[in-house]
Amino acid sequence: MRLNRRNFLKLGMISGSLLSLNSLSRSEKLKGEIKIGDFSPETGKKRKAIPSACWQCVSRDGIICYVEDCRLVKIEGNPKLPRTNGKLCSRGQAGINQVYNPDRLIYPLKRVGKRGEGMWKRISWEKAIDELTSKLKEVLDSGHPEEIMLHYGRMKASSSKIIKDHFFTALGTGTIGNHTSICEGGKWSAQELVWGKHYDVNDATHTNMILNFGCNVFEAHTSHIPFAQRVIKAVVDRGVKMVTFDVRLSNTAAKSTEWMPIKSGTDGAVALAMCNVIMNKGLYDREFINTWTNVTSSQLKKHLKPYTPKWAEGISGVPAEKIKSLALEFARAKPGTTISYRGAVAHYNGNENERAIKMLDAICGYIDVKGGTCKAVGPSWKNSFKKPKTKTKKLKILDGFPGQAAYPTHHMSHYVLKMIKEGSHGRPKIYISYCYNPAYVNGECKENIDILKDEKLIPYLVVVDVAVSETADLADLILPDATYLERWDWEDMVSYDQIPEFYIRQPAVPPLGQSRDFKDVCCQIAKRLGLDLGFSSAEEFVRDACENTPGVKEAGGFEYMKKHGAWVDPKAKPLYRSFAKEIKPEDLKGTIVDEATGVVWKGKEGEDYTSTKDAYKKYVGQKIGNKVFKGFHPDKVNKSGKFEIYSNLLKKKGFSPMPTYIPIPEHQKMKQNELVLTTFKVAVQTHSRTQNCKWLTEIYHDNPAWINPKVAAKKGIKDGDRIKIKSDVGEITTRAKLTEGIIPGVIAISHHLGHWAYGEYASGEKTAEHVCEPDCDFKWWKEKGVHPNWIIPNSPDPINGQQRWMDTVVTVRKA
Amino acid sequence: MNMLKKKKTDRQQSSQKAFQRSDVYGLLSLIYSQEPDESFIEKLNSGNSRLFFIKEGMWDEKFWTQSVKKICENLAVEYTRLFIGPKDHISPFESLYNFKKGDIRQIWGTATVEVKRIIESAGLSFRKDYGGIPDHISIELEFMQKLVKKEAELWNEQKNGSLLFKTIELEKKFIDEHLKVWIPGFCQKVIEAARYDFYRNVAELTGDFIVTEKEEVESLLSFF
Ligand code: SF4
Repeated sequence: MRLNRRNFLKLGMISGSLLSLNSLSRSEKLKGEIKIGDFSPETGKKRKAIPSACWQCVSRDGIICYVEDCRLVKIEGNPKLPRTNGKLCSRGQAGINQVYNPDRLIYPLKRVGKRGEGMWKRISWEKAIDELTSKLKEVLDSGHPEEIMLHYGRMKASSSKIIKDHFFTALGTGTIGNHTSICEGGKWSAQELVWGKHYDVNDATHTNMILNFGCNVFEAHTSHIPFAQRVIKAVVDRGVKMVTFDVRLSNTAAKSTEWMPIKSGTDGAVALAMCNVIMNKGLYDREFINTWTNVTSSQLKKHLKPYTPKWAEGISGVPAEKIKSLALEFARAKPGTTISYRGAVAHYNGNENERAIKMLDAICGYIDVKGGTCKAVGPSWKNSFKKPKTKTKKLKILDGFPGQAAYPTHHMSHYVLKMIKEGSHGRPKIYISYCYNPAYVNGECKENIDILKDEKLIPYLVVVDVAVSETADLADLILPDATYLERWDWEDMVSYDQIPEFYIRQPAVPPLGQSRDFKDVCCQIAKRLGLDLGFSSAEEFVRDACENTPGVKEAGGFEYMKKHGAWVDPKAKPLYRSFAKEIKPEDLKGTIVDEATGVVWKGKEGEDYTSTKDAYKKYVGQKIGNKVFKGFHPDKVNKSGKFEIYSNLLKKKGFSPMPTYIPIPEHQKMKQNELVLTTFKVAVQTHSRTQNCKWLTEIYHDNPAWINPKVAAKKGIKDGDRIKIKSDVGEITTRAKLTEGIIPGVIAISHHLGHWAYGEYASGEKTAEHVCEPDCDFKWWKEKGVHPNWIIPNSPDPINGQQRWMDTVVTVRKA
Repeated sequence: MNMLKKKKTDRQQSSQKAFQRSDVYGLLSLIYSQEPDESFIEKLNSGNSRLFFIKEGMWDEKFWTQSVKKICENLAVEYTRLFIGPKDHISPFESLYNFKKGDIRQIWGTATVEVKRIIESAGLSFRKDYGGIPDHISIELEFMQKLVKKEAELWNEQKNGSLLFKTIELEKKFIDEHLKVWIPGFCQKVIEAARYDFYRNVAELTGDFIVTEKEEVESLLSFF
């Protein structure tokens, strides 16, 4: 139709009559009367600075958000927060892209076609909450609250408190899965067997030497920027020697004093051999070993005897002489510290690698001392709201099949979908994924998708996210979450100066469109269900904590925190050797001593500490001589308050009680032409949740496989060739990057890319239907990389259940 | 200055026309702001409206003989697919199309700020429960609906010539700097992507309307 005088008149009339319906009054968004004055919108721009906390990665650094015209325009580090010192990584600065990403989810969506078919209808929040509430009610009425499952990726501090401890507990379900086993859970579990609660904080600021086993600290770490800036200062300003053991020349290895190429999964062998050298040379810390560990130096010497440098060289490829000299240097550094991460831990033998590395610190006396490997210090927030007393029930699908892992204290999230498929331990009727993308982030993507797609296995799938993930694609209901720049939290990440730092996250801008903080949604659902949480919004919860936490309260409470973002006690001193603090006799009332371990605890007379369920929760201290000390507080398992180099708990499950080297079974059987596939991270992306950020994906959008030129030559592969990589569970095609920066037995691929959803920046391709997103016209790159998880099996460390990212045996050929 | 050189009868005519223009803006705003509901579809698919659209060749008989419920459901899914996503879609926000060198192309971009400022300095504010983004196509059209309605009222008030002039000037500014810059291109994308005639026709109509509106305000200003 072309508009002309005649038809316009009619159109005008028809428009008027259609408008007279109620529909419009409901849809109007503008109110007020037009007032035409001298039209001059002001032009001066004012910037508001709002202190808050980053969340692009789990480090949660302090930030300052600059807002101009209600628009977030810049993010900087918060110099008032010691952890950050005003510095951020590129991901932190690209947080703006999370908010304004053209693919951002801003309305609740309900599936209308078949699951996964991609047919959606926008629904109002009221309808979305109605629907979810009635589904929850149905399950609650059936008397099986455990059939409501929450599975989260990242949920920390007050988010975890509100969603998990208050809301889901009030629902009565304990079927709450996390993602730690695909991250670093094995490291924490191993530490729990040795010295209790994680984290380990390397006091880089004061150390004299760093041995780094498979951690890419300059590109990724749980405390990435706080830690990396302290390490780089140590190395550059003070000339601290840092040696990095890695199969790959990561940017960390490149910036270390020395890169020690090492065979995959053999870090433990090197650590054991170093312990051997130190013990034999008598360079160990007698006092620490005899007082604080549960072994003697002669026991140690005996155990370590077979682990000679020569033996370790045969296993790891690290020259015996090097092992020896580094061991001596390390023991003499006083203090030194060891770093470890997934390179050492995400293996079949990861638990033992971590234990051996911790033992290395321990025998040198570098445990929780200035410049050593310290027990984490974090803030302790106090809320006045009581956690609901509801007794929860849970499905036994969080920890893998019975017997699969001995102590999966951080669960086996990569097995949850397999457990649901198998079904003998029950299945959730409602599966809510929060900030988690199981289809993409676990191994065996194909199987994940098949399970998530199957309505018989998962009848109702709800996804809460800021972008449409691979999992949201398969959901029945998508709830648009507020990004971290639009919501409230108190934060509690550990300090790298051993001083508690209290800081908050506050909205820089209101949630975009109709996105809504899931914490607030939980409060709203609770209200509908008649559950009294005691608070009605995340803001109220955070305000309450600021008004009730000693120190923060006196500093000015909520108003102070909103203005400054952080509070640190100016008089606080760094906390070291907390284990050696004596417990006052008056604090020992009502305790008993467990003769076998020396644990002082609040058990009943006659109860045995080690075998009583959850006895660790009643731990008070450790008896040494005739005094009681704080000791190494146990967490999750009934370990004593000593630094347990000898683990009775492991012995009980048939494992070696002393740290030992376990060869990786698949690697023992490898054929000549096979390689080990390992994955790694780069500094500008996180595993799965930053690829929608255009600034980051512009920097990093391609991830060819690193392969050693000698190996490539044998296979007839040249730099840039397309190659196929095949494992037992699948095959992927990518390109080869020939580099001496990787050892011959390994092929390595970063694990950030190859999304097939999460917006156009992440998934890369415009589909056939694409006429659409104008923003993508600016995309100058075509690559989207490849995701290695398609061919990595979900498979646990037999002790702690950690996903074995680094063990997959593959064949590689030219495509 | 700014004296109106129109006779009373002409003024009345202009007023009537402005009311109609305002209604067209209103109708289009409504259609872009939400999925049609049943009462709307019933009214659209009956009487004069139906005849008009048939006459203008904008009627796919097969589509409109389905049940009202089915029509609504189909259009709701299509609305979501076209304008919301979650995957490929045609973002209905100006800042993704209208940007200058150095701007970041994003939702809530520079154009959004300008639009918000214009709307607010014209005395309007956003409903609290909206929480949406100021340069959504439906908001811009709603703003014009209200502005042109004001114009319609002013035509009948002889004394307010200068206010009328300012109003039309603001319409022109908003059309030139905003609507005209992005809506025709946006509509072209919708025309190509739409699976139902309904949204294809609406997009065609919108694109056309914006072009005629530009001519209209220019000719109106020549009376001053
Ligand atoms: S390391 Fe980077 S992404 Fe992580 S919290 Fe700090 S600034 Fe944010």
